[in-house]
Amino acid sequence: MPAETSRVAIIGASALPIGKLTATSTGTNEGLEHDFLAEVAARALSDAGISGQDVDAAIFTQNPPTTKQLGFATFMMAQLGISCRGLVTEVGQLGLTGGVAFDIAATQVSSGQADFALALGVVRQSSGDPNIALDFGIRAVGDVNFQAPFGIPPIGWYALDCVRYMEDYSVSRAEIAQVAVKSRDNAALNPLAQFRHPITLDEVLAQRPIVEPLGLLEVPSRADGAICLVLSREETARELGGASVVVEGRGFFHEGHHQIADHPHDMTAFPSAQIATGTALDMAGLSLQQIDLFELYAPCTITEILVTEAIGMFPRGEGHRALSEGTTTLRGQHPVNTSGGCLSRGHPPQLTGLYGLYEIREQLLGKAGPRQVQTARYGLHTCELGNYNATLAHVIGVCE
Amino acid sequence: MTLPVVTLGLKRPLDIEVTGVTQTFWSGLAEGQFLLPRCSQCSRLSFPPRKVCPGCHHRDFTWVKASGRATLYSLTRIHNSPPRYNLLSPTSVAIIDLDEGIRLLTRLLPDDRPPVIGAACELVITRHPDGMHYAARPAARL
Repeated sequence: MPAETSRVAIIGASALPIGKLTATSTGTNEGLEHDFLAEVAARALSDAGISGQDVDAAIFTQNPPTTKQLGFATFMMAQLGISCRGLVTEVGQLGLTGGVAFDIAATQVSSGQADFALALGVVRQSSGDPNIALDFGIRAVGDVNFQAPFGIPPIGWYALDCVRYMEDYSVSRAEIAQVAVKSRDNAALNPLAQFRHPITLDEVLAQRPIVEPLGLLEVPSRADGAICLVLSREETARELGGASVVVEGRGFFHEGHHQIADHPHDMTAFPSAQIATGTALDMAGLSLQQIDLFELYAPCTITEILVTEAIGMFPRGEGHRALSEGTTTLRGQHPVNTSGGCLSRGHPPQLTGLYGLYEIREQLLGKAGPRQVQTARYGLHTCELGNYNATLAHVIGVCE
Repeated sequence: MTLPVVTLGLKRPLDIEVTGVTQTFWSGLAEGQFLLPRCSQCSRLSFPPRKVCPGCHHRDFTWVKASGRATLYSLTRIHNSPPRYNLLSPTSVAIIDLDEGIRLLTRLLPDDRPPVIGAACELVITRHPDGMHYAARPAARL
């Protein structure tokens, strides 16, 4: 039995490009959710250099409400012909989902319940009725008797943040919207990204409003994807000999609110992001300045600015300056969302946490091609729930 | 004194489930009052009504009539909610801080005075074919 302090490595990964998992040119679906995920899982195992028989645990992200197949985790393991002595289950916690699947898979490994664990999932919803996902989102981010009846979707809460932030710090929509342009510039270099055509600030500002002041390109689009990460202990990764990355630190905090508290508080401060990230950095023995790149869960332009401020990259009210000064671009001092993030890499909500970790691994292994951050040794990942009421943070480093 | 009542012609978008915990609140709305539960032990005001006080986990409450006076904390107009939520088009929502110290999210009614952050606003009761709900609007001119 390994010591409980075993560090956990990501030893293999595979992901589909984010977009629409639907029909071929002949109109026939290439497959259903389990088919897409089976192919991705098989590729991830191959990438890790292990077989299905080696897998001891599999933590799935819960499917969106448009998925017909239920009992998905065990159904999926039957598709793959894998038996497990560890845990096989689905987890679902809104935007935290992908990160939680990873976190539980990592705990399976660090506790010795699994030698090899998968964190994986599929989202196939863009061909379904959009109102199903919207209605689900509305009920997930609001009290069903006292908030949801007003029809506020998850991104509506970020719009409320945006309006308040603009007023508190005298910041314009255009200054915030620059995040969308930067995201697209990064996504243009990412073969997994949903949107790769460069866009201008004028184009962003000219789109129809979705949740005012945010328009179509300042919020995420519907997106499908499938992804699988393979985890083992760090020593196992060394024995296997392939290139891998390790979890250096981890932190979580929930502030005890669901979207807003019933007593006034600073809604745009995101204290959970500050605390969870601080915990993860402390565990890693690193300072924020030592982090080479950041994959931060940010469905809307404003969210990226608020979370960069919350974790201490910039003073309150000044996060937008990073865009005009280039600090958070690929070649800047603190590259943020090198993948293109939720806005352009794409945002299948349950999978975004896993795609963020995937990007950090690509960067740390030097596999990011034209969007490679030079000499990247450490990456910080966050995912969140609600209006960043909860944050799960991981610091990932190169396994040397 | 009772709060203003505005009639909206459409049903509430989600069926409201009245329970032993919330019945006093909904009955209050029907009588023109917006009632806030106050914990009998620690005096904390809460909203929405709940079974236990989030401050001290005590389970007895008294009810306080809100004045209806509030300050606008933030607002947005929503263009992508499913059709059944669009009682008014476009749907507007606001976070307001009641003078009693309670923050809540609610519908923002259209008004010829454009709402701005920090402005005084007031709670109104909305009457629907299937019952009462509530909203906010810029405060009446004195």
